[in-house]
Amino acid sequence: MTTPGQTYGVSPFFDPVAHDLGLSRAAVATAYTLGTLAGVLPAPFVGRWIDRRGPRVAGVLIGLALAVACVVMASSNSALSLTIGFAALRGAAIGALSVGEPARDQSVGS
Amino acid sequence: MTRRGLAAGAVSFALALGGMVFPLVSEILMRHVGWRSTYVVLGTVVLLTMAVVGGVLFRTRPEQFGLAPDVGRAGDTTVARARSRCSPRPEALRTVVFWTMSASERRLATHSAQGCCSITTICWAATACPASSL
Repeated sequence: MTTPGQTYGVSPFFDPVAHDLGLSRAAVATAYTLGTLAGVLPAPFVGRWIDRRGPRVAGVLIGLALAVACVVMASSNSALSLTIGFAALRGAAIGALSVGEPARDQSVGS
Repeated sequence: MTRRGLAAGAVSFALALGGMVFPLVSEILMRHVGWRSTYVVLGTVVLLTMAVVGGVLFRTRPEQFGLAPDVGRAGDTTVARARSRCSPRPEALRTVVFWTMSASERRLATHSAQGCCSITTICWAATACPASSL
């Protein structure tokens, strides 16, 4: 359920967001790249936290974070807030939830 | 853990299906309610699936169900053998396998932005992780 933060989940929003905020596609892409970079930096620490807490608690809290990130994206109204929204979205989906997937894969389907 | 192949296959199938369906659903929703409301809908779906369903279905440790995480039943001697192959960080960082797998994880050749972030993350992970965690 990381789709809203995956590249293929974000790409349908590019043109509508750029048009609505009066930004170029390049500006939105830059915000996306910077947001991705900022979002994945805490990943090693998130991984250690997931190891300590287990996939159940971590999965629920990261899911909450991803839902909040979607709301942050929905309230973006400038290039800066868009970058923050992308950082939250990419951080929760790529930097956290994807990190937790191996732990989750070990624990479901048993 | 038993039936790991089936579980991994189900996860891969669901990920691919989600990747195919959600962009289409997002586009249809955007045409009717706009991109802001679409993000609110996606956030609600994430909340319901991850926070609610995940909280009910996720299991923290296979050992609680008498199963070992890697192979066979808990107490299986092959588990101890598998664990003994883990490398400490300095040793792992000197292997071609670690760098090759880390670099290929984010498909450097096709996604330059992700690739740049991936390299940064790998270097970051190499310095931030404790010596025993890799």
